[in-house]
Amino acid sequence: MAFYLVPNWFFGFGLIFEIIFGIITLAVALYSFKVYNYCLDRHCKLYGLGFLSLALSYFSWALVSWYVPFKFNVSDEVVSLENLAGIVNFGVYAHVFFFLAGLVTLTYVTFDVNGKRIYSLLLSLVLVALIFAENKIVAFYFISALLLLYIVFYYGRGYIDGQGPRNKWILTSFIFLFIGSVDFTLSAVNGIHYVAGHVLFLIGYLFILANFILMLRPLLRKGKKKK
Amino acid sequence: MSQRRNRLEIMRDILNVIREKSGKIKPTHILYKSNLSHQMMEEYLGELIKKGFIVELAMEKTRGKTYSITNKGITFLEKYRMIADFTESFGLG
Repeated sequence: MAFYLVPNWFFGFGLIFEIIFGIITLAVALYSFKVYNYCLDRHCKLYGLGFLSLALSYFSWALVSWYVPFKFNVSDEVVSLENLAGIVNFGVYAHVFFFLAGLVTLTYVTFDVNGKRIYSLLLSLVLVALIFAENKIVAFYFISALLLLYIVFYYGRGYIDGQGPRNKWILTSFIFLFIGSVDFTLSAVNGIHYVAGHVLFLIGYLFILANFILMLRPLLRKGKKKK
Repeated sequence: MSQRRNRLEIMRDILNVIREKSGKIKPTHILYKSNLSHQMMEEYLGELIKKGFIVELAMEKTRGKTYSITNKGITFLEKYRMIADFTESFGLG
């Protein structure tokens, strides 16, 4: 069974997409750590760790996208990414591990509970489910979609009730990431889902970037005035 | 309608109260100014001490205690707008 079916024309684009995802998630992670330095709030630290893990997952994926056309013949219209070589396996599994660890961390933050045992249980259950799954990539995206759904509920409930977070940008971004994850479930069946999944993820991450820039705007203006 | 304060806002209010009093204040004064129950105030003071934002000082004469803000606490107040913008934007408030 293939990990992914990838249209050969998409390899270069895929690499660019994954680097963009990696840079956006890394920027959010670094800013979270900067804020954590001042407030020492565990939510900020965990949020930073979650996004850092997502960034590492995208850089691992970018490694695969860079390595495959460079080392292998991708003249076929659709390339089946499976056990091609050690580095492909390493890249795909590193992507899977870091992505799930990141999403588990972000989901854990939304639960607003303080317990290392709960966190380790969540992560263990997710990894065990993946290890024993027959089709690991489908299981991976299914679990990812489920975790993203919990995050969407958290932001959605806050937005509707007006009790918690009310930011529609971040809510929209996680909705796109959720739909993208559902679409990626089919990427081992048809190559076009690999492309569609990337596009949906790109829209999701652009919303996160827009949210990030909107947040920084007053600070940047203040900095300019000081100069 | 006034909204409930979140943890960071309460921490900011307590630190502001301590700073306004030239950096030394009795717990009763914090209780009065911060609009919290005694138990909640103790919880927050414990957290602020743990984070190094304030220090507890013993008064020799009355056997009571006072609280003083540290440099870390002052930095928190100075950077509060940045912290609040981030937590609100990413739904961590």
